[in-house]
This record gives sequence, structure tokens and C-alpha cells, in this order.
Amino acid sequence: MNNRPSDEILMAFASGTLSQGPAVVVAAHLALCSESRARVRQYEAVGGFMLDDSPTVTMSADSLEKVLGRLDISSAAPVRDKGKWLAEMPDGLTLPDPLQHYDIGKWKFLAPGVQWSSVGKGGPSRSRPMLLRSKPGMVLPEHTHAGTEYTLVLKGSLHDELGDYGVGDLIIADASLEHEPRAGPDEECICLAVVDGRLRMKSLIGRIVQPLMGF
Amino acid sequence: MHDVSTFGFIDIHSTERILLRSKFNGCEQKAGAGRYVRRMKKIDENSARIVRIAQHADKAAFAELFSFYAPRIKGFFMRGGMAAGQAEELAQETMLTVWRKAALFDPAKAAASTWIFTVARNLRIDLIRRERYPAQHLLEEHDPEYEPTPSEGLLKAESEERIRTAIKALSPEQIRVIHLHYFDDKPHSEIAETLDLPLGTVKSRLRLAVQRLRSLIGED
Repeated sequence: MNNRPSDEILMAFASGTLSQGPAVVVAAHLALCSESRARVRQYEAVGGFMLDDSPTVTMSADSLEKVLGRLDISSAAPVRDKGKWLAEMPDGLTLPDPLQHYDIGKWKFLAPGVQWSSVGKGGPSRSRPMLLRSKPGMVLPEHTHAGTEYTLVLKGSLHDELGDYGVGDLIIADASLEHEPRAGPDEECICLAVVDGRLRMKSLIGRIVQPLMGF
Repeated sequence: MHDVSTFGFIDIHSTERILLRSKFNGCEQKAGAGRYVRRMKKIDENSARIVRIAQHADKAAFAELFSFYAPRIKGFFMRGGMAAGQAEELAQETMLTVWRKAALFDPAKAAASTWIFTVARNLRIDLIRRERYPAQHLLEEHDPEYEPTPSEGLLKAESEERIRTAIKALSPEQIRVIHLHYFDDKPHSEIAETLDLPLGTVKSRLRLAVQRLRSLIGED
């Protein structure tokens, strides 16, 4: 694996300032990449250092007492349910752990040979992650970006002008890039993708699909 | 609350840590000697407190941890733009979560400060957003995805110290932009205004600061 997010993105993820959609995609990438995971740990340690050296603000006088009073009340710790999955996954594909708790919608038509399904239901739909499933050799719909697009390969491979990407690789394409990734010729490709910002599809099919997808 | 002029990375809390330490004898070991050992021990006192909470439901250890961290967590939230009342409440909630999840804390994987930071971070995001932040890994007990590889296992002991050294090696300007942008969640434009700098300067300073931190921490 060779395509990893920049340290700025990993730092934003670790500090909790990366927006929700990209954070889900980065979390899924971390499950597949020990190098990125190690770096996020390091940036979380930076956060710990920042916290240790934070200026203190006096707590209210009875705060400790209040909290001590709640210690023995057993908490109904919220158990995270497994998400409801309507889209079937091909054999041999296990979605990375961070996706287990999200609902995944049915596969829907996006373009010839390409389907998509929604991931999760919170937040504005345009910044919600989606799964893209493409038959071998098919081109993902052409679009330009008004924001940054995050695409994580979960199965198969993707290829564009800049390189070849396999499972675990995270491609981050900013607004300046005309981006036309194609699935590898031998195997179908499944990706997790999100656009941080508004996506404008250029093609006719994009213009038709766009309202349906809520972009 | 947005006044950042007082902040710096001088270890102004060392006195407080020493005071706390003198109250804390449960897990003291005979010092093997050496500054490195002493420094690590100082950092690890709070880890030992969390372990005592997990193993013995030790309320005295919790009270010590609370007196050190709650005011810092509140300060941290307020720097991120939260109102005092809400910051107070969420700091209490963070400490309560620390108590409840103490059994999930593994001192071999993370320092106390790192772990508590992630608890505070997750609660802050959960409050702001409708969905939970996907970065829960330090809290999850049975998470096969995150079994550390041998090299990750080495991370904590050496690397937490190396990270502290790295941060202290950054210039005050670099630490400041990292803190403002990543930890206080300030957009570039607001930082430019606060520091009275052109937007482009803020962006490049931030990029260089992250690069420098990266190379100081090392690639491994």
C-alpha cells in the first residue's frame, strides 16, 4: 500500500476537526494501514500534550462532589448496534470495522456498470460517505470537484492518470484535479467515497443522477 | 476566552504534578535513578491512577485525577469556543467517562493524557454532531483491527517522550498555529485575523509546522 493521507489530514483526524464524512473514510483507511494508524496515535499523543499544558479554568466549587455522587450510579453504557445493511457485499469482502456501525443502503444505479449505496444517515446528505461498486474496467462518472474527494479502495483496484491504487489506498483529489478513475480490468472494484464540499457532476448522467443523490 | 497570548509550552504545571505526586504513594517504585526514568514516572502517575480506578474503584485516585485534568479539560473546551457552562458540564462528563471506561485503558498502549484527550475529543464531537466520531479505537476493548503490531507496541514508551521533545523543539509560532487550527478548530481566516497575518502566510506556516513536527517525531 502506498497511498496514504497527508499528515495534515491525519492530524485533523486525531484532533477531531476533520469533518464527519471524511473522518469515516479515514477511519476505515486506518483499519487497513498500520503506518497511518501509528501516525494518528502520535498526533493523539500531541493532543494529550496540548491537554496537559492547557491553561486551567477553575471548575465550579461543587463539581467534584457532583461527579463523585454519580460514580456509583451504574450507567446504561450505550452499546453501539451493528448497522442495518441492505446492500449485499460480494464474497470475500469484509468491510473495515469502523463501518460496522453504520447503516448501508441498497445498491442503486449510478452509471452503466456502476452502483452506489449510502453509508449512515446522519448529517447533510452531500457530505455523507457512499460505497461505489464498479464492474471491471468501468469508469467512475466524470466529475469536477468543488471540494476534496476522498476515495478508499476496499476491493479490487482503481487506476487514474496519476497512479494505480489497491486495497487500503486512499486517494484524495482536490478541486483542481479532473479525476477519472477506472476500475482494474480483472475484478470488480468497491470503494468508499465522500466529498468534503459540494460535488458537481459534469456529464449528462451526472446531471440526472445528482438530484437523486442529494448532492 | 479567545485570548491566547498567555499560552506557552513552558512546564508551568510541574510544581502541581510534584504536589500531586507527594500525595500518591500507592504505585511508587524504588527509583532506579536517571532523569529519564523520573520523567517517565511523572508522566505515568496519572496512568497509575486510571489503573487504580479500574482495579479498585479507587475514588481517591479519581479525585486526584479530577483535580489535575478537569480544569484543563474545561480550559481546552473553552479555547475551542465552548461557553463556560457547557465546558464545565462536558468536563464533568469527560471525567465520568474516564471513571466508567477506566478498564479499557491500557497503559502499554497510551499515556493517560493521550487517552483522556481522546475521551474529551470524542465527547466534544458527539455534542456538536449528530453522529459519533469514528475514532473510538483507544476506548474499544475488543477491537481486533487495532491489535498493535510489535512496532506499534513500542510506540508508547519511546514515542510519547519523543513527541514531547518534538513539540518543545517547534518554534512558539509553529506550536501556536497547530494549536489554533487543529485543537481549537479555528479556520485559516480566523487565525489570519487573530495573528494579523496574510491568509497565505497562515496556510504555509501551518503546512511547514506539521512537516517539521513530522520530521522531528521521525518516520518510524
